Amino acid sequence: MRLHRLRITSFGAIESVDVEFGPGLNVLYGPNDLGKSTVVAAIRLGLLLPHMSTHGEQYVGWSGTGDPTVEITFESEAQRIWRVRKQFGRAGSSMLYESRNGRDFDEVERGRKVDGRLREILRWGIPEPGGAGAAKGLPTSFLATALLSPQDDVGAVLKNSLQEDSTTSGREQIAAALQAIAQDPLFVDLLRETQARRDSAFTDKGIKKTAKGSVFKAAAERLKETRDEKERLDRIVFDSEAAEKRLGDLISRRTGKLASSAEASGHAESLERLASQALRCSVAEEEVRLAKEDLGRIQRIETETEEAERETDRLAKKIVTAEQVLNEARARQTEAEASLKTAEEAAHAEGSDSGVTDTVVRQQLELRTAGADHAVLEAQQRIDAVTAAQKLVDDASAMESDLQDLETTARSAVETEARVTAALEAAEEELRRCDVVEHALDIQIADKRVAEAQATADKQSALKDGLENVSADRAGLARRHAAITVPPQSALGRMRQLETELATARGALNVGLTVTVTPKTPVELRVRKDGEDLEVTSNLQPVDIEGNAEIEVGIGDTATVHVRGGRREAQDNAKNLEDRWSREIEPHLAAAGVLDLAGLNDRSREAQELESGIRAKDRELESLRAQAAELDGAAEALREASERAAACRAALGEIALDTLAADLENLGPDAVAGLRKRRQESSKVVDAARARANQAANERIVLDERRRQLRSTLAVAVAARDGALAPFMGGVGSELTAARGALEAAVDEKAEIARAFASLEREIEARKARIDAALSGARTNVEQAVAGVETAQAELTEAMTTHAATHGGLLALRRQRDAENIPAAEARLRAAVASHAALPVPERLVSEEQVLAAQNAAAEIKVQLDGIDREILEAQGALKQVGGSVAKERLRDATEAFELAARREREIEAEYEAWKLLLEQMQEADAAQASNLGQAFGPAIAGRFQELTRRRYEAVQLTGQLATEGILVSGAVRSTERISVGTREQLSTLYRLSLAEYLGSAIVLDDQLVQSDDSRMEWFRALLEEKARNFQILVFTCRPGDYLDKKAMAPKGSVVYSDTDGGFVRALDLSRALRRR
Amino acid sequence: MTVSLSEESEVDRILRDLRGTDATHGRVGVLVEDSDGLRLTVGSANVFPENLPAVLKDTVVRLDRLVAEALDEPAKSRATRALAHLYKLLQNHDATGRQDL
Repeated sequence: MRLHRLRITSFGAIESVDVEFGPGLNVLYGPNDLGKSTVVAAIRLGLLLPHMSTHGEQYVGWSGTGDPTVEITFESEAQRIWRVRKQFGRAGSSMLYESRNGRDFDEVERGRKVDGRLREILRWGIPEPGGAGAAKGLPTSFLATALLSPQDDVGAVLKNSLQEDSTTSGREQIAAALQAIAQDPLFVDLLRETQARRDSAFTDKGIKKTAKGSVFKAAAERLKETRDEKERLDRIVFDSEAAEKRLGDLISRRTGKLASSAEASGHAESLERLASQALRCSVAEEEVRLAKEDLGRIQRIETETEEAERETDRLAKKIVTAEQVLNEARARQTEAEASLKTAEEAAHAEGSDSGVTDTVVRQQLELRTAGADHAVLEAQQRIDAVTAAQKLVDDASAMESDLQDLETTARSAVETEARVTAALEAAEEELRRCDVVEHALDIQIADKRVAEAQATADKQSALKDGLENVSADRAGLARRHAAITVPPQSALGRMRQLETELATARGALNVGLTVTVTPKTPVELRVRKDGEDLEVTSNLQPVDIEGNAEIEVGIGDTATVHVRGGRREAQDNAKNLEDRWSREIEPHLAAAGVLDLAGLNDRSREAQELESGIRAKDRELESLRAQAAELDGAAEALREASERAAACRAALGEIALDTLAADLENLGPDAVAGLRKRRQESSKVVDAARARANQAANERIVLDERRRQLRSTLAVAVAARDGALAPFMGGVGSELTAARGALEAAVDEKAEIARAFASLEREIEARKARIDAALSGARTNVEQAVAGVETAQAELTEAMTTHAATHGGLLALRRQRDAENIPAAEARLRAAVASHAALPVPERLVSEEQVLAAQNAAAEIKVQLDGIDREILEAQGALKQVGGSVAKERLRDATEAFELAARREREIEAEYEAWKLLLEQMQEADAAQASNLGQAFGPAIAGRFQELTRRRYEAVQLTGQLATEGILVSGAVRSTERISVGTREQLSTLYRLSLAEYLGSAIVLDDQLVQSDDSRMEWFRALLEEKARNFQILVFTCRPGDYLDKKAMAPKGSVVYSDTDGGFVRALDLSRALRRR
Repeated sequence: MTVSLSEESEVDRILRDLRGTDATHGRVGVLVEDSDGLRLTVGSANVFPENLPAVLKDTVVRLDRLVAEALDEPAKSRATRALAHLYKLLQNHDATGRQDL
């Protein structure tokens, strides 16, 4: 495991810290009470403590704001980088992320599962959190103590062992690490080969590999190929056998169908024969029937002829009888006509005398009637004349009244017209006022626009001034930027890399040199050390010259000795890098006028800032230009606005603007809209007044015309009235009464005459009825006689018609009878009967449908037989296609191949299962061999401990569970409690370092060696620098000088850390990285 | 036929000669292999050398114990096959002169 980064916030006294660790020795230094041990505790809690544990409460931030949070990024093995983030407290949380490249992290666990996964990754012998009997507080184990031991218990590792661990993961990890260093080479070779064989077939979890390239995959593919081939041939053989079976079935079916076909054909022929016999019999019977019918027809004609002759005779007799009846009817008609003539003559004689009398009376009555009508007419005319005169009087009166009303209305119309005209003039005056106010408003608006145009012109002027100022500033920045010559920012990275490489190369030369010059004779010694000239000495005393990398000693005029540290390769490397520095870097430093890359970086940053400033000025200039461009035309706008204002004032004329102030004020905030509204309202008023004035004028004119016409009509009516009243001197009323009396008398006379007319008419009618009755009887007798004549005539006509028709039919029958030959017909009948009797009688009757069905059945069987023949040909073709016995032979081969492949697959599986078993047994045997961890691990610690103590102690005794039994001194084991505190902390540190080295794990040393003297401290420093190349060491100390050279310390300033020894030593100034509350 | 671990190794060698390799011609025109009837003698049968490293001796002992304690034929066969693998590994290793098999 190796730690990459640590971030802490609100953790105890620490507000925040964020440090990145180097791969080797990391010395984190700072004064006492800075919070170094708190940082160590944060690492311990971040890796081991569940976030919900109450143990975390003691690390709540001192200011009480925010929960303690720890984020650790670490690498468990190559390309497996983890980031754990824990926030402790009731609302805490845990997150675990994983990455392959250290940049892109994916979440893998969260919440309570994080600690279980962490402990699985670390394998420090700590069980998963939770469960019955789980320890409270911060969990611990032998490895947790060894790798993260707290400052206040430096020797804890010497008091613990694997025995107390809850799980075996820590022991297994240590055992695996120790085995790797203690295995026999032969065993290692065989184990590696066995592992390779096993890995070629199984995954890490022991599951068979089935991907392409695995042994199982190849065997499975072969098995699949052979199985597919076998199945394919199985199908072919199956098809072949099916084709053979089908062919046999078809041949059997064909044989059966042949028999069926013969039987059906025979049956059809038999039915056809019977049908033929039946047909001939049927034809003969038909011929007999036709001969019989012909003979019967001839006989019927003979009979009908005889009956027609008898009917003709009967009708001739009927005609004679009808002629006699007609003659009798005609005699009766003549007699009735004579009687009627006699009656008519009698009626005529009676009617001629009465008619004369009636005519005289009627003429008298008509004369009386005419007189009465004349009297009525005269009376009516007199009444009409009186009535007409009265009407003229009434009309004249009504006209006079109408005229008076019209006069009143006309006067009212004149008054109305005057009022409306006055209102119209007022409205037109208001409209003219609106025009004046509009001119005033135009002046006001124009004045406002003049002011706005003036403001715009002023702003444009100010922008031009600002543009000139910014341009001047930009030019100043550009001059400053042009004066700086720096390489591009991307080149600085390469320069820093070269600087680091040069420092590393120089560090390799900085090995420390001591040159002792012992003059035999007095000689002048000129010493130059690490580029610095020292004093010149001249005596016989030995001179010790101690330098870091280079010492040059001039010995009088005799010689100059030049001693340089480091190997030749390192010197060449440093020389090359210095040459590169001179060639690639120094020109840039000179051009920039700086001494080092830090200065160059500052200059580069200054140049960047100037560039940013120039770009900002450019943007400002662009913005100002855009604003100025928007204001172009401001002067023209001002001139136009001024002209407009003058024009508006001219339009107003001599009216003072002040007199219109009230009108303008009344227009409201939006004067234009207000004026528009006022004008619209005034226009409406004018229109309405104008309409009313027109209407009033029209009404007045109409009334004048009507008054004039009425006066004229009234004059005519008065003249007519006076003319009508002239004949009635006695008065209209008396004249009317007399006329009505004469009218009533005339009406009574007309009624009397009407009654006389009625009596005369009744008498005439009675006489006429009596004459009519006599004439009617005579006429009835004539009509009856005429009807009898007509009846007799009709009967005669019918008898003659019927006789003629019957006689015609008789003639036709006689012609038919003469045309027929009865003997010949009888001969044909006899011949037909004889022919019918000569035909054979069929065995049974067969219908046409039966014959047709038998023929169809035979044809259908024939068709089926043809189909079977085709299927036989197809089956023969299919059998030939699939191969028949050849396919069976190939199937046998394929089956053998399949069985062989299956057997081979089983063998391969057995082979690799055996490899897997062998590997397991070798690993178990190896683990058993290395089970005594103490024996394996003890010598490693003992060797270094002997070197440190200059073999004062012989060995360190460890148990199988790595518990420290003691140290061996003079053959006796002594408890570690009996050695000094300093030596015990050194032994503890050695133990922990050795363990971390075997595990390849990071180790945290929190002020472990405070009790060590300088020489042992120096020894440890060298050891730590050496081991820093193998694993990561984190030293927290308040005395960085114990672990670091002065040059390795972080330089003054804000730099948090500095790397030396090729990046394997990192000095971290915690006082700069850490912020306390 | 039942063969010991060393004999089985010899059988393999003979078959390899007959079959040929990428570097050598085969000795026969047609080779039909049928090893169904070939059986291994169960256990190591003391064919491993005495001078083996302890860890390998322990491995052989463990496999022999598995053979002896196997409850079914497949388990016994697997352990015997594992012994055969170990024997061949050592034999191949011997070809480099590091072991005396």
